[in-house]
Amino acid sequence: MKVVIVGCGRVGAVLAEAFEKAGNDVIILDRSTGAFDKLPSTFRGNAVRGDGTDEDVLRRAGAQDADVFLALTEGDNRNVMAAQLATEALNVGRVLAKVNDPVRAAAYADLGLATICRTNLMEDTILGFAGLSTAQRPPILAPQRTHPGGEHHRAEAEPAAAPSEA
Amino acid sequence: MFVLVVGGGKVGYYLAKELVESGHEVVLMEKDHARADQIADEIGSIVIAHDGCEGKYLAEAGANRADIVAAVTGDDEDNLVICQMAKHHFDVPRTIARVNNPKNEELFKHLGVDELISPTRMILGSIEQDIPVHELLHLGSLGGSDLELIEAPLLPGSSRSRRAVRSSRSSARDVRSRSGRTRSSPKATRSSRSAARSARRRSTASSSGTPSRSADALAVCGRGVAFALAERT
Repeated sequence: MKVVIVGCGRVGAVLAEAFEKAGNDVIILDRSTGAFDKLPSTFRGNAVRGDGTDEDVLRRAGAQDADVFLALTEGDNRNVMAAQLATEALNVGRVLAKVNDPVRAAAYADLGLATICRTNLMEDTILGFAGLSTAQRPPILAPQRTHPGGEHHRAEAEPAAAPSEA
Repeated sequence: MFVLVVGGGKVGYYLAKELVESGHEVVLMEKDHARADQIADEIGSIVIAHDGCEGKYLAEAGANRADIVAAVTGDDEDNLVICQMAKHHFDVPRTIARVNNPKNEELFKHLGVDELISPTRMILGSIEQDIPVHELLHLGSLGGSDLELIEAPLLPGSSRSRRAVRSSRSSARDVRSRSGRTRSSPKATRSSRSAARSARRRSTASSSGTPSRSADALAVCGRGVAFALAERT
C-alpha cells in the first residue's frame, strides 16, 4: 500500500513508522526538515520537505494514486485543503483530514471528507473517564456524501468506514 | 448589502474601508488583536478580533445573513475553508476568494468558490502582454463562462491573414449561425461555447498556417494578429 502523510508531528511520525513496519510504502511531508528528527533512524520511507497544500509538491513527492492519504499538520485548513487536493486531483483512495475545530470537522464530513477531531476525541474520552455520559460520537466522522466533483474518487464504491490500519 | 470580509491585511483593510464609505454594511474579521484594534480605530467598530476560519466565530459575525463573504487573507488554504464554510454551512449566496497560487484556481472553483481573484495571475497577465512568451497571449477572461480572450499571431499562409477586420467579424457571425443557434439564445454561454466548438473545427480545417494550438473561435483578426475566444484549458 502507498501511504502519504502530510505533517511530521508526533502523530504523523509514529504513524509513518507504524505503516512502514507493516510493510507499506510511506511518503511523509513536512514544511521543515527538523520535523523529520522525530522519525526513527531506521525509517526507510520517503521524507520530503515541502508544502502539502501545493499540488506540484505532492506530485513531485509521488503522492498521486496513493491508497491512503492522511493530512495531520497542526493547521486545520491546511489539512482540509491537502485532503481535498488528494481527493480531487491526485486520485487517492482513502483520505483523512485532522480537523480540531468541531464545527469544521462536522461541516467537512457533511461535505464528503472523512475527518478526525482531537477536540471531540478528548472531550468524549475524558468525560467517559470521569464517569459522565458522552455524545457517543464516532472517532472518525465518515463522509456523509460524495465529495463535490469526486466522481472519479476510487473510494466512492467502498463503504464509508474509518480506516482501521493505524 | 451585508459584506463579511475575512482577513485584515492591506487588501481586507482597504476593501472594508471602501465598502463602508459606499454605504454597505461591513464586518471585518481579523484574528490578530493588535491589528484588529488598529483597524477599528481607523474605520470604526466593525472589526471582530477572531479567527474567521472558525465556525463559531463566523456564526457570531453573522455569516448566515451575509450577502457576500470575501476571504482575502494571505493564505490560500484559509481562504478556501472560509468560502466553503460560508457556502455550505451558512448558505452565503456569493463567496469571493483571494488566490495566491494560480494553480489553486481550478481546485477552488471546482470546490464551489464563486469568484476567484488571483493577484499573481493578474500581474503575470500584465507582464505577458508586454513580453509575449507564448504563441497565444491571454488578454482577459469573460466572467461567468469558461471563455477567455486570446491574441494569436497569424503565420504567413494562414487563410485569415490580410483579411479586413470587418470581413472577419462576419465570419464570427457565420460561426455562430453555423452552430445552429440564434443570437438571441437564452443561454448565452452555451451558445458561445458551442460557437467556439464549431469554430475550432472550422479553424483547424481552414487555417493550416496558424500556430500549433489552433484558435478556438476566430473573432477578429488583422495586422498579423488574431483575437480569438478560446475555451479555457
